[in-house]
Amino acid sequence: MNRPAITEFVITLGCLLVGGTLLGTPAHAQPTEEVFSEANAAYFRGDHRAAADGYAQLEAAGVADADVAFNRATAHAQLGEYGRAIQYFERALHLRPGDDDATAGLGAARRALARRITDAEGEVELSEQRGFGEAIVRDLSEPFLAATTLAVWALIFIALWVRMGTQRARLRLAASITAVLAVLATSIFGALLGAKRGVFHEGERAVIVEDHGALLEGPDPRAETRGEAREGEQASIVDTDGDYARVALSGGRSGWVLTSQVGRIAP
Amino acid sequence: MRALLFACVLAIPFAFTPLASAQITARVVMTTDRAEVPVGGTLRLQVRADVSGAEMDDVSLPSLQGFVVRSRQVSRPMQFRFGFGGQQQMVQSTTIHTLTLEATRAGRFEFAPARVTAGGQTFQSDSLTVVVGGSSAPPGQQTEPAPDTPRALGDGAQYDPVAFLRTVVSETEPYVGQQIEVTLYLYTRTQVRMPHVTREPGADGFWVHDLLPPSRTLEATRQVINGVPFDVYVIRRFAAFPLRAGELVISAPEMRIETGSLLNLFNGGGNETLERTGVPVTIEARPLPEPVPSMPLVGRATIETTIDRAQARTGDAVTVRAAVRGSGNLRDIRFRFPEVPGLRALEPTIDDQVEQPNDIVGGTRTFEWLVVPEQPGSYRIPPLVLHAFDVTTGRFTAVRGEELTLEAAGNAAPETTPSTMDPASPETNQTPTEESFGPIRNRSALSRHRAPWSSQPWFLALLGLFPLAFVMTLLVGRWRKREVDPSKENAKLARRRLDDARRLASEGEARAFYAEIARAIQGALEARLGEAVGGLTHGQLRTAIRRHGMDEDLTRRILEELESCDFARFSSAGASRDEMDACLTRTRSLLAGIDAFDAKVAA
Repeated sequence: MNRPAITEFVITLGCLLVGGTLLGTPAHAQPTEEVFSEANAAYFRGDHRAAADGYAQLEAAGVADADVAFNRATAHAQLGEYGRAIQYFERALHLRPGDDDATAGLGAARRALARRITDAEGEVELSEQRGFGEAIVRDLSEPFLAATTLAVWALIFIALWVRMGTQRARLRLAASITAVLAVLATSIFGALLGAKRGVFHEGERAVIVEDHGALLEGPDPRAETRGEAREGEQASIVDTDGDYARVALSGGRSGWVLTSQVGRIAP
Repeated sequence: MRALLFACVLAIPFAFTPLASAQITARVVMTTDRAEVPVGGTLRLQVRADVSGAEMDDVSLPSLQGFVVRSRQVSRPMQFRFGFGGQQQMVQSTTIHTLTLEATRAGRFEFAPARVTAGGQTFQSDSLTVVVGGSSAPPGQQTEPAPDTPRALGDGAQYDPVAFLRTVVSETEPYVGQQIEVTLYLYTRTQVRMPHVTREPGADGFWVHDLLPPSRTLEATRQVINGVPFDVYVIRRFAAFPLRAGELVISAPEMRIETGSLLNLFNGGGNETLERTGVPVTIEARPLPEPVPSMPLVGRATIETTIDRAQARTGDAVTVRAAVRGSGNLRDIRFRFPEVPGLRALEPTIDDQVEQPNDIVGGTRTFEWLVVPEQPGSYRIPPLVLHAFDVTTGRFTAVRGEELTLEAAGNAAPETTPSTMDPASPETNQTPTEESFGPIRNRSALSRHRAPWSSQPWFLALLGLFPLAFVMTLLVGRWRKREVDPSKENAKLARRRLDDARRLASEGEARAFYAEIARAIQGALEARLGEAVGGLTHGQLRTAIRRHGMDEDLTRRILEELESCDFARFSSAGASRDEMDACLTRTRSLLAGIDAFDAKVAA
């Protein structure tokens, strides 16, 4: 191989490596802390749109943090996008159950949305439909429920072991009672854990984020319209197909909406 | 001769005795230690009679109407007699009557002269006048010393033998703004049913704070004043802060006291209502030493300043809070928000939390300002300063809060109206609402999405681990049970019983020992023969053992030992330690023989 050919090969290889390196650089190379600070600064400047986009960028990069969700919800609320605000306040509560600020923000967003609809249409009916189990576990975190379930589950067998290994009547009685109570507790906490994980809930919890979205018969723009979904409504995504998601709404209504019209609560 | 002369000298006075008896002289003096006394007060009345030349026959004291005699004392400090046997002659004598009198009612009382009779003659003293009444003392002056009562300046009471009010202040020369405690006591000797304060002790010129709970039970303490026990009730107790220098007066309170008990209503009376007025108490408030800083606090305090967020949008309000904690009249504290160009502070809201630990009034006064940055930039809010005056050192100390910083960004929000909004813009979706959102959070862990550990596979494995371990335990237990040879177990049991028997022998429990020996032998037999022998008579047992082919010698030894055990259990035979040890040895030998016996082969 002659010298120019070798040189050409080296240059080509170098270009490929450099190019490949550049192409391989992730788009979110900017540190997340920096993105977060910039989004906060945008919020303080009053540029709520830029702030919401910044927080969205963080979530797109894999950040699933209650504070980010809270800030994003607040930015959407400042923009008057109460459906989105509700979605992200719910997400903040999903990630950090019992967050007082998020609870307050969620209530404020719902009231603001109701007032806006009332002002426009004269009346409003927004219902928050939650199952009994969901209502109970709303402020309890999943790790807490899982740890408690595990503990009482273990307690059943510890009590049984004790009962088997002792001849003392009182200790046997105490172990038997403990085992029975532990079985009950396991059933309760197991059910709560299941409720928290959505076992008893069909589909994925979501919120309608655009008002007057059409509920279609099928995942196609040409499909017939069954009704409409209102902004801020609680929904369950039970199926997806392309750009469409089949949602179940309150009152037994269901249909296909654009995925952009519905937002998942869980990250 | 000398004796005769001495007798003549002694006889001389007798020669003049009739002359002496003819010259009877007497002097009677009646005095009191005071001329005026309040009702309930006491005085000492003394009547002294000096009589010469005759026997003092009688001393007649005056009528003591309006007084009660609390004590009486008679002393005869001097008596001279001369004479022999029944011929003794009184030459001179002195008698002193001392009475302690308590005035029971007001008025002017004249004691008639005291009279003394001696040698058939009557001698008398001068008369005396004593004034009894509450008006004899000037207002504000305690007319009766109360030696058992804690006394202090600024202590005013009008003594009354039945009930009176007393006002006490803790400090008569406080500084302006310094806390003093004012206490109103009710002294009474009667049973109090319902005390009512009809006029509160006035405290013009003071800021006052009650130190007693609004609802409480009156509890009395006992104090003795001039030997008279009183029940003392605390009626009022409050902290008073002088607001100006100079003479300040705690005016006289008035009370209506219903005495007696409810039972008296059914018993036909006995209850009465007393009206009592206290005495005004004066204090002299001192001014604070010059130079006096602006808005000083007399007491101790700390300041804690906070801001609800360090960053804000220009035009948005932030909350600056200053909490002053300490003791003293905190309600007197005023702050002006520091002048910072570009910051506009609205009038503060003030919240007071008054506390009184150990009767020291203090607490927390919290100021909240809404502060609006009108221009973007970085602001430094200087610390708030409070000058506290320490009454113990007499000096002022500057107490400071913390400096606060505020970053304001962006332009001030324009005043928008819905009509000017662009309906196409999403920004215009914002409806003017009463809801507020934010503030946002400046810090975040920026945690990544992770599936909760409860959804990890190992969680399910962990859940399954417990029942699995339990089942394994059951299985292992059963397997081990199968592996155990019943005869070996019974042999072990027999050995254990032998150990128990040895313990019983060492404890001297002969009956229990032999019972245990019998059980050990029977247990070993049952293990070897494979049938129960506990309920058999010795004859039946012999038959059973023979049926299994045990040799005669071992059978005989077993039965003899069992019979010995039975015998020893119900008699005193074999109760010695040596006999029990021998029994143990025999039984060991028997058990070895039973273990060695192969019942299956024999059967």
